[in-house]
Amino acid sequence: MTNFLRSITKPTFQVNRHLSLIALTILLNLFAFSAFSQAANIDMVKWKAGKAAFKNNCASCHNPLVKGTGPALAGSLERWTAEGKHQGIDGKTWLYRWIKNNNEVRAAGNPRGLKIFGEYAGVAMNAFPSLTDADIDGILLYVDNSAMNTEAKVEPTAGGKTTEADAEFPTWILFVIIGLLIAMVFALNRLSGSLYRLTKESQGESVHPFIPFYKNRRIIILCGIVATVFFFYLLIQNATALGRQQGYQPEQPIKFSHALHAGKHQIDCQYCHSSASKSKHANIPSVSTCMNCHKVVQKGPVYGTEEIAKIYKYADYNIDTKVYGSNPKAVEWTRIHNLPDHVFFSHAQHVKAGGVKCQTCHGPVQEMEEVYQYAPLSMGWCINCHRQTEVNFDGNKYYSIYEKYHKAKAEGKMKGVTVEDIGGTECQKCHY
Amino acid sequence: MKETKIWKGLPGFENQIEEQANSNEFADSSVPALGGITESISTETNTGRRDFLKMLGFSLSAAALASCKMPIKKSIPYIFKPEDITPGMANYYASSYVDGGDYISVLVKTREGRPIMIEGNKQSSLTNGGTSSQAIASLLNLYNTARFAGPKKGGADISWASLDTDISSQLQNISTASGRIVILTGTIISPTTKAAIAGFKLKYPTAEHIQYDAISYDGILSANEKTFGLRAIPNYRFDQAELIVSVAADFLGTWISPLEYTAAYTAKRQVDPKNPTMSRHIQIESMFTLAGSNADKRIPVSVTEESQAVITLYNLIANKAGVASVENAGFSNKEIDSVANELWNARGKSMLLCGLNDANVQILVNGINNMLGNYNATILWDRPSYQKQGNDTAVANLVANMSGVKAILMAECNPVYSLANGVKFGAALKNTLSVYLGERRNETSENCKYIAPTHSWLESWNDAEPKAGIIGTTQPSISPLFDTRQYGESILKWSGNNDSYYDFMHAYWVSTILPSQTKYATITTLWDNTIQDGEIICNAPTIAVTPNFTTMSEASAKVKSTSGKKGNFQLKLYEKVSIGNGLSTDNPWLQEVPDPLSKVTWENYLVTGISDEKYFHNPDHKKFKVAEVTVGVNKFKLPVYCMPGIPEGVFAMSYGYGRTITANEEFQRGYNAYQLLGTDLSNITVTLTGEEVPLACTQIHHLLTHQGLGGMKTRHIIKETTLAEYKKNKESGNVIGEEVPRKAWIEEHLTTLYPGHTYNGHHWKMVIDLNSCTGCNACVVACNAENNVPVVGRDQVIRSREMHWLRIDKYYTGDENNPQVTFQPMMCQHCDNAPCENVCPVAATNHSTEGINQMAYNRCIGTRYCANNCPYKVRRFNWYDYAGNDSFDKKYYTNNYTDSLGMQEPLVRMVLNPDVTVRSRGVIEKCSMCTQRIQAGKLEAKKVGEPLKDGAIRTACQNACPANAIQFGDYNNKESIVADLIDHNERTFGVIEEIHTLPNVMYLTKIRNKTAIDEFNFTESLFD
Repeated sequence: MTNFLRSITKPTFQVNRHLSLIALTILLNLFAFSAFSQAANIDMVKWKAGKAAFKNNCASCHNPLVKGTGPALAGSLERWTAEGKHQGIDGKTWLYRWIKNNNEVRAAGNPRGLKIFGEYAGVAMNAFPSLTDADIDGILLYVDNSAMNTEAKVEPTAGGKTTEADAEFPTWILFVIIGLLIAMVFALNRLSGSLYRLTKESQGESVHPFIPFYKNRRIIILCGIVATVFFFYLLIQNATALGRQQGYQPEQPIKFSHALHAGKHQIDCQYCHSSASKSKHANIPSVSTCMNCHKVVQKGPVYGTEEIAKIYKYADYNIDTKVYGSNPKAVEWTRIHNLPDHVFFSHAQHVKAGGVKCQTCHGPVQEMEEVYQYAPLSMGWCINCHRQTEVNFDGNKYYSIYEKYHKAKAEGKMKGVTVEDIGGTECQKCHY
Repeated sequence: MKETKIWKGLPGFENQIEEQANSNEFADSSVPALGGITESISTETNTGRRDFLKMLGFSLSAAALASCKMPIKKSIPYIFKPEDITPGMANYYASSYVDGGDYISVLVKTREGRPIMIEGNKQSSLTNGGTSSQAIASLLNLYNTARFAGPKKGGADISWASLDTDISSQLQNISTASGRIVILTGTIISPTTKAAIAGFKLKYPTAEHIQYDAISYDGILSANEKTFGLRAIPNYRFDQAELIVSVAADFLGTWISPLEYTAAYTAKRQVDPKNPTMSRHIQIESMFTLAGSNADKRIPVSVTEESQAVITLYNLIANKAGVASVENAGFSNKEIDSVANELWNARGKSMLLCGLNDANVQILVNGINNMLGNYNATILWDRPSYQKQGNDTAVANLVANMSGVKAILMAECNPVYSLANGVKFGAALKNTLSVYLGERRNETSENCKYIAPTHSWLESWNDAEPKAGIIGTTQPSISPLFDTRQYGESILKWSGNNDSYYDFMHAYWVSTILPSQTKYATITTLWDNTIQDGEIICNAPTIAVTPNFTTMSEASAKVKSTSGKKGNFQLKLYEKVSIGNGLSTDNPWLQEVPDPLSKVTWENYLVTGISDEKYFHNPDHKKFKVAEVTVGVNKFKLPVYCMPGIPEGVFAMSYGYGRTITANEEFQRGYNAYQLLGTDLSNITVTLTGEEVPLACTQIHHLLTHQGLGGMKTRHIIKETTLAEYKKNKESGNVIGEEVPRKAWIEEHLTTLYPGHTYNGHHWKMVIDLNSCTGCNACVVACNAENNVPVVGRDQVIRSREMHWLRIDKYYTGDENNPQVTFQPMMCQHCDNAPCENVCPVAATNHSTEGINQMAYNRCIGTRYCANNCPYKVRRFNWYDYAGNDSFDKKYYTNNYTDSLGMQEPLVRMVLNPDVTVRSRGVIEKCSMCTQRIQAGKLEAKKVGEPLKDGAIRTACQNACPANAIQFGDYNNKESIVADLIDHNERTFGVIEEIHTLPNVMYLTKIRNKTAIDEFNFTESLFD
């Protein structure tokens, strides 16, 4: 009987799996091809170097495509070149000088430089004397071809988000098929049973009276056991999950997009959450921090002026007169990552001393339109990480007191020293 | 060596095993199951079926409610983030705690703009980094619900503008009509405030400033005025004196400037193993004081004999010095003779102090010090102290002529409470323009027409000059919580000066402080640096004294005429170390700190000696006999507390109780001793009423002397030796068993088959010097504040349920009639072989890799096995959710729960340390060795990438200690102080370490500077 079931269901599964894999491959190929077709014309090494240089130097004020604190940079080489010669020097050279030290260019009276300066209300750009011409080549290449930045990352995300391949073949179809098959199994089972009885009866042999499966004692006991185990499994699962909020994604007073700020505009996490490396709290930025940029950036790409206007309301800032009122209000964000009172957690310990990436615990925030809780924030999850993560044992002189481990490492008895080895899984590291 | 008896409580008490059962907090079987809720449901003792169902239903619905939905929490960032505040990081501001004349240079720890802890300022030249229990507890005064929310007129709220108009115009009218205006304040040591008052007097020429100390020091001030022509207190150099003789002056507890004196006194008494010397201290007193309990020799005398002893000493020394003696007091004692000899032998290096507020006695004391050549040697006039300035004559004159006073402004005092005839004074306030410039509701404010509420010191700008030329600064560490105004600014306002107090102070500094110092050239550098440091030493002023010792006979005649022994019973009024003068009695931390000597909390009582024991004492330490006392026209009833070391016939009671107007009735217990001031205390009658009441006394709670394990006889809890013995043998006194030196005994006996702990990184240890600890309680209150230790209230203390993580155990040794005292701070000993760890069924308490016995509250299920198994009795069980559970109505707790700390008020909760969990009901808690500070210190070291330095982490108790008795550090760092003490100091021992607990908290033996004469004077025990 079971063999029979297996013989039917197994190929079906395989067919399904094959289908999804084929679809996935096709999709990935499509992406790869489009990326390749674009990349075919440019020097990828230079582009990557340019991207890195842009992120390090320019991204806090500029975006290739969107006006930020400074202008959108895509096409700037074209625009400067189009300007023609000034004082016998061509536009490209002026641009390179401008990027290195815009003060000098303005002092030299370059009309384009003065125009940009005027456009941005006299906010001077920083000087970058350390950038070489090759760096600038790369940056200019990157800003003109920044669209490649948006290549899709097909990483599975937590929180129950489905990948595209899954969306093509929804799981409910699978359940329907399985259901139908189980029904078929029962029908066939009944059929074969009846045929068996008929045969036996026709041969004149005595048969047991027919007992339907729902009255079968063995089946009832089996189901009872399964149900009990399942009940307790659910009970324990739900009890431990009480108070855990993985996937929690509350609505916030302002539709702030981390995908836009941290993802598209590449603003460093600690520009806003500046105390993450100093304090136990990674602060939520004050309204004044928002206003640093949004005095200039008055329109967003998704919601236009609607959401940014909310900041002005909280800050009591009049966008027309550019004057602050006397009645600002704090933004009441809904807290997503909640730890119980008896848990001590320090961001500085993890970010500064441990060198842990924000995304390790907070997930791909740079892709989140609305932030949700990525990690379970359960004790088991904390402990697991403490067991697996190695500390910066040789790089930080604080650990020099652990002479025994240093010796063991030197002798090759120990590969790396984990957080657990230095007491990172003890009660009073987090509970006091 | 003669066997020295050691005991707690009353002599012979340790033999009464059954009493220990009574003092066990877990013995009480009448604990309600649901914190009082069941009491409202059922009055039966047995839980019936219906109650069971009710409770089942309740818990089911509570569980269901809890599982419904997670509460939504808000995260509210700053609008404009202040530059110097990082959420989660503490900021420290140097400031000065000033209360009347008390001055302590401190650092105020703030989190997100809230002061949460007061630490000592290590840069202070006066206090050397210590704090007092009052300074730390003043945090709760900031968050006191009895504070005024704004100005008031006749009980109704008014605006500051109309208050100013009202008062200014009335003052003007009174001044024009030449009516008397009085500003009555406590001692003011702020030069700026004095300048403001001077401005006020210019504006209103009929105004007069009277300073009034509730506990008066007029005697010593007047005496100095007569003998030196200067109404001030000299600079006592406890770090210079080799012999200190104190007659009833509790200079370690309450006298003038106890913190400064403690720092200097203990510095001189810390014994260096290479060159063992220490000062010698003799105390002559009736009531057992903190100074007396630290003395090498204590001579108990009756109340009247205290002043007679001064006359006797005068004559004995005058004989030796060849100076004319005065008429004899008729009191002689061979002990006093030997004191005179010692003083004479130590002339120029000794110091005689006297705590009696009697100018004539003080004149004789000055005469003795003069004959001994102590002036300009141990008692200096270079920087006199201004910490007490009250003038009894002026106050008496004011009280007698209140009808002539047309306006009275009162600040930093509570005369209606602290005057003998306060009620009458209060009535007089109603007939004049009376303005109260205090912080909180009290007896005086209730009688005043206007209330102009002032800031807490934590909200104020100010300066203080405790000693000539030593200027401390106070800066605000929080914005004013209420609509209050610093009283100095109110006085400026009413004198027509519209400057803010800050501007006025700054201007005063430009004109006066800047020229009087040479450290800084400009006001900007002076101001910025001094505000940052908290203290500046200006040039010593030129103090001219004109010694005049010609009035000795006159003085002694006056003393004699008033001090003749009159009755069988005499009364001594004294200050308790934490409660002090009682103006801040409405403070739960101070109320719950046990008095160092009696260990009683929350109330006052009559203290008497044990020679009257059979009559007055109930030996079970649970119920105390109530006596009715008649002092002149005053009659009151108080329980009697017997204590060894107090002579027959002496009764003592403390100031500071019997308040009538406070935030909570809990603060109103006891009898107001101020009412007896001015009455003849040398002949009182005491009769027993037959009643018996309990006292919230912690003396016999949490005893280490378990009889089943041999009691005091075989357990080595405290160890002491004498300086002479120590000089001969560094290990003297540090013995286990039959006089076997500790090290040898341990090496021979403490072997084990089990592997010990290995500590690869840090190994935290603490060492406490019993010789330095004076028992002042600053560490206890510091621990309360740092670790959110709840206050449980009097009823719970009676049930042995006080929650203090750190307690100070007091042991008596020696002669039962005149014992010596050893204080021992006792907290979790963080044993490496911890008996608590292996009895916990859920492993909620276990050992860390750094030697700390850790306690996970969220894991604890409250079996209390650990507390029972702890030989040091340092684990505390949370019987209630003391920090306040919002979801239950307060009324359910009324039977057993006293909301003494008021932690259910959001205002009071601001004091909680956000780095430490607020423990809930049903879990055990105990000292964590300030693990939050260890974690923070390690993180800082990791952030900068450097090895942790010794001394970078300081526990709260260590930081608060004015005597520098507590050392904490990493034993694995062989250069640390603790490693040096443990490895190389022969005085180090662990408490009852013979049971092999391997404690990580070690102690240093107490050393007494005794002479052969002291040993000889041991009398035979009464109770053998």
